[in-house]
Amino acid sequence: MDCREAEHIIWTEGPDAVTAEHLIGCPSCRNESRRAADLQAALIGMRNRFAMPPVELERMIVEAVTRTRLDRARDIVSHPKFWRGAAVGAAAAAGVAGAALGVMAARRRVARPEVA
Amino acid sequence: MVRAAQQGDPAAMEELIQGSYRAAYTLALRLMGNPDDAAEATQEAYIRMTRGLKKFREVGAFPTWLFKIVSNVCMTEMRKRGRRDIPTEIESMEDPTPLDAEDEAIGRVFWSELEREVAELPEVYRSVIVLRDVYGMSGEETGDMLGISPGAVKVRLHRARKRLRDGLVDHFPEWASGDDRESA
Repeated sequence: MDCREAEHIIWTEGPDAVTAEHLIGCPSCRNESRRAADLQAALIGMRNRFAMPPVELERMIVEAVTRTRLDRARDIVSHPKFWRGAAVGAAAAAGVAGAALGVMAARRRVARPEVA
Repeated sequence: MVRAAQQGDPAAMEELIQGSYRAAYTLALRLMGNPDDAAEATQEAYIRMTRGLKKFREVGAFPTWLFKIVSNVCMTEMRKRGRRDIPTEIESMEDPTPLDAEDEAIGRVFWSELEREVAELPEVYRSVIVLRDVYGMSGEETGDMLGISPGAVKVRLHRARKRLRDGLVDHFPEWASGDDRESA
């Protein structure tokens, strides 16, 4: 591996991608590798540094998100599918309730035959 | 908190926004370079996040998911506007507190210079550096986001890093020489 190749690897693949064998014998590439490592660490460090957002941004986001959620809820409620689903659900609930009442009445008849 | 927000808890959603919007805005600002555009993109990203939140399953990966949404919104907007090189207005960055030893060693001057160098990169390089090196996205994810191949990401990354290196070497000759560490 020559220095040109090493330098290309350092800045493309990262400072650890160059063979130690080359770096040991080459102070110039060793320095370049160190610079690349410094830069890499600094760029990662940028992730934890925040710009100052406009003061009203948080409120604007919360409002936009709340609007979106309300709109979605309204869309769902105004969609015919919702009402079809609601009707099916109501019918199913009525059926279940009717069945439960039937079972209860049957149990009562079994428990107190004189009522029947 | 993410789970509670998924279930429609408005307080949890507000908390989620409060805890993440500065990071989201900073990413948008780094990509778009203009505070107004960045604020608009951040809002749009949160609207999209809200729409997709119910289906989002990897709760622990929320920040990464949010960053991807922000990046997508920014890239779409920039493509729509046909922007290439745009003036950057990153004026102030807040250091995470407390500063650790490494941060102090590198120094505030270095940070602001680095921030400026990144901001002044041409957009094609800046977006790659920001997504790949700053926010840790993979080559493939970065390529998908920018609509380029992983190979092209690599090429741009190489050029962008070299530009940053050259810019920093001009401002910090002692860093360039490396004598301090070599002789140590």
